[in-house]
Amino acid sequence: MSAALSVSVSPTPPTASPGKSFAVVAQVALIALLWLGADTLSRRFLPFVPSSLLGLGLALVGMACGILRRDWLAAGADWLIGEMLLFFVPAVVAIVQYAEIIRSHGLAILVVILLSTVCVMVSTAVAVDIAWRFQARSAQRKAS
Amino acid sequence: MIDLINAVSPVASAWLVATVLLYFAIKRLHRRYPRQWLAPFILVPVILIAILLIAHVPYGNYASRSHWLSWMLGPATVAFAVPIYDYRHTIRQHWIPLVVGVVVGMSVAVGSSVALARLFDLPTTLERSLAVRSISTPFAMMAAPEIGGTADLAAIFVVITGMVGMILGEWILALLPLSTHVARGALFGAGAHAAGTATAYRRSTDEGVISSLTMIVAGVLMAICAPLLAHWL
Repeated sequence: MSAALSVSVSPTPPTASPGKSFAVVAQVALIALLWLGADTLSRRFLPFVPSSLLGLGLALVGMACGILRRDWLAAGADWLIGEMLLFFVPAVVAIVQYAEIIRSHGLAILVVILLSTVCVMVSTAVAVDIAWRFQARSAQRKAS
Repeated sequence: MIDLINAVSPVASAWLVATVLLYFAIKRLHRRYPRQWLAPFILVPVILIAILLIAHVPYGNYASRSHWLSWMLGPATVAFAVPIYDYRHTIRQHWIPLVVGVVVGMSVAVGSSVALARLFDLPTTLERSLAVRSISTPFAMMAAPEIGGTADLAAIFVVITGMVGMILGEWILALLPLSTHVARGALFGAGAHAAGTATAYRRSTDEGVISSLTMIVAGVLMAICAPLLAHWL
């Protein structure tokens, strides 16, 4: 379990070494290729399935069937997820195009985000807490 | 061919290179001085926006090559296959609370955003872009155009949500008595995506794992539901 925990969106990525950097670059290229394949497939044959979802699904199925090895993707995936914030910098900088909207609606937008985030957090946490207790109780009943 | 020459021309690529260098420099700085306002996902866009505004650079110039960074969000979404695969046992074990958390969280996110946006008389594009904002960026940017928002606005709102959520999450946890790490993790994952997940990891690894799973599952669910939501709203 602890090995698996180092993957995904952990805030402190492991330090790089030359051999590892090469693996990361090659694996990012492989993942990009997977995405390109999924994008082409989605555009040509499955316009109702978003390409990102198709790519994710294909990668999952590939790993489950043993066509793709987890270790071929893991270092690249770790880097892509770890540096994800870099990839949306251009989209955030695009705010300069929306000066008019910010001037007229900025405060309302902020209030919507604040209130809605509080609603989401409280409702999710309470719902999960209830579901967790329900699951624990039914597991207990099954055991006794 | 001309396109290829343009793509590698140093002048055209200057903004792309500047963005990448600035990102890694700020990241280093943030690791040494871990203050919230030094977080790269806040400071890097702020610095770039300031430069563009002061130097009167149109966004089109900035984006002509930098859009390749946005393109990387596609592969970044595919990359989530690895953590999903790694945590398949955790998902199987906790699938009931996870599904409940994601469904409730996303319904409340979309519902409350749309209701509040209408209350404040915000234009439809804003309303729709706000609706997807509590999910992880690549998914939000894919889902936004489907329901009549724009990817740019969604990305901006996602970042603001992340900043707000990191702070709000801690306050809410101080007020709300939650006994399980699953509930605490889900709160961050559903409310504040990757920024919340980073906060959850700082609190405990268990919370971090649940938070990242909630975020990923929510993103996938949103991508699936977006075309349906388009009819509904």
